Amino acid sequence: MKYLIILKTYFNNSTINRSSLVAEAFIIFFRAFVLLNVYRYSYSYVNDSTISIDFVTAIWSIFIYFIILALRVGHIAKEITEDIRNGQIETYINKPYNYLLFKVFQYSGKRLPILAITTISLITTLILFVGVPSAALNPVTSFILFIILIFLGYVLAFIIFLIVGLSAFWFVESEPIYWIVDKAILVLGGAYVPIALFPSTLRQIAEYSPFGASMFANQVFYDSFSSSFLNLILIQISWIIFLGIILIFIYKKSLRKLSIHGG
Amino acid sequence: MTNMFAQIKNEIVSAITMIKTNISASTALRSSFLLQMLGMVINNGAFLISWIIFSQAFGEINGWGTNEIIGLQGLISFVYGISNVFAYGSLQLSQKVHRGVLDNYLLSPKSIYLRIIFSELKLSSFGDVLEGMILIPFFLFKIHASIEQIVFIIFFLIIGIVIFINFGLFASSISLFIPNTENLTKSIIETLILPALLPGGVFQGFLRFIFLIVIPALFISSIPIETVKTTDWKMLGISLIFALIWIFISNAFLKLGLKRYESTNLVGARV
Repeated sequence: MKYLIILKTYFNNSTINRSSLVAEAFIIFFRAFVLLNVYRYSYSYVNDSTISIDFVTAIWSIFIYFIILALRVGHIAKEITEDIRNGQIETYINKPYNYLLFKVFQYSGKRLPILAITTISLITTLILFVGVPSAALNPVTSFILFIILIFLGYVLAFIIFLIVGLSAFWFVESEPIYWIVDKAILVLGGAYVPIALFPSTLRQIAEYSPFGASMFANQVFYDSFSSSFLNLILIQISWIIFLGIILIFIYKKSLRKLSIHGG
Repeated sequence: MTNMFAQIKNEIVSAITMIKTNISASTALRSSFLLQMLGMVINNGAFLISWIIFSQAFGEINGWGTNEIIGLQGLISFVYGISNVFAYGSLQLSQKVHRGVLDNYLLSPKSIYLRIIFSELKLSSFGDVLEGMILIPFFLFKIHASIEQIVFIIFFLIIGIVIFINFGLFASSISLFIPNTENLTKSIIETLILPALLPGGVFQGFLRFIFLIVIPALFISSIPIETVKTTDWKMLGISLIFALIWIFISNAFLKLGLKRYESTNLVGARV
């Protein structure tokens, strides 16, 4: 309950600076809009049948990536790094809550308005200018699976970036680690090129790595989804368990390191 | 006339001194510097990989294949890198206004335009420069570039850097008119960078017009790649004119903004 109050408080705070919200939502929309035109032109230029997915599926896949991106989970790593560098973490860990959960709910609260604006604007654009692709499963089942994949994807992404953020305890300069992980998700998650267009080896890397797994929700309109969804969910859960254990281990070590330093 | 040249020389010497001071201060932490540079190269590699996959899936579009995409990434990396390494201040004006430190620059007898542009550097952008220095020669080698084509690329690099710096200064000068515009500035700069990262062959018609005239993104990366293959001197001339227009626009916009600017009255000590 206390975490929900944290979420609500930061949600309310973030809606005060409306110009900032609009600016950020605009840039996500701009990126998606440019890519929409790039893919529309590219599909009209080449023979459609030579491409493994059609234009509508490709563009929905990319837009779903940008909707998920709107929460900007990666920036939680930067906030944690900042807390460690300026010593603020010492204040947080003495409060009656779990620091990592506090950061997740605080950060989600701050980003939810952007997520809402982006979702509405991108889905409206897709429906008006692209159309709705036919799902491999029936619409209700597809929607439920989509929500499950998004939720598990967010949990996995948070775990990955919490680990990156805590790495600041060991590395003076942890920003390059953030860049590498962030860009691994960008490529393997299918930000600019849907993974259906990847060569088979790279597609396998995308599907079995935690970076690609955090963006599985954008595969919901692929033809292969009806046979692969169970596999995708299992991969996500496996990575959540494995990296979750690593996160707990690193977090405990971090707290010990913090007391050694004396705050 | 002699007096004017002496003044220009004086301004350039002053700008070079600022750059030297910034570089020596930033490279003091050598391991951090190298790590950031390496991180940035890997960071940029993501875009290169994405668009090579795209190129292989769709084949050549309007003369744009894998080689052109490599050249494009090299150009944008180099332009972005050099601009940030030497002139990061052009993107940081909104922060200066927000933090209340712009007044320090206003009191200087030197050109405010150059003072702001060369006031900061971004260390990690050496990685972008490095990437550009690898990819551009690779592209030139793959297209069997002649001396004339190499000269073309050098000219276009200079033009791209001038456009990028001045567009950045224009975007961050908005802070002189509207408060708290750091995010808006970033968003406007992003509208320049994203189309510049994409293969120019896919921009035709209205979108091409927008990304040439309103947002000069294609002048930074796509136009150089397309023009270097045809060695079209006319297009080089047009690009140069656009670069000069952007110097004028950013300068005029900055001066207009400074007329409206009111000091933040920030009280503090400078050590």
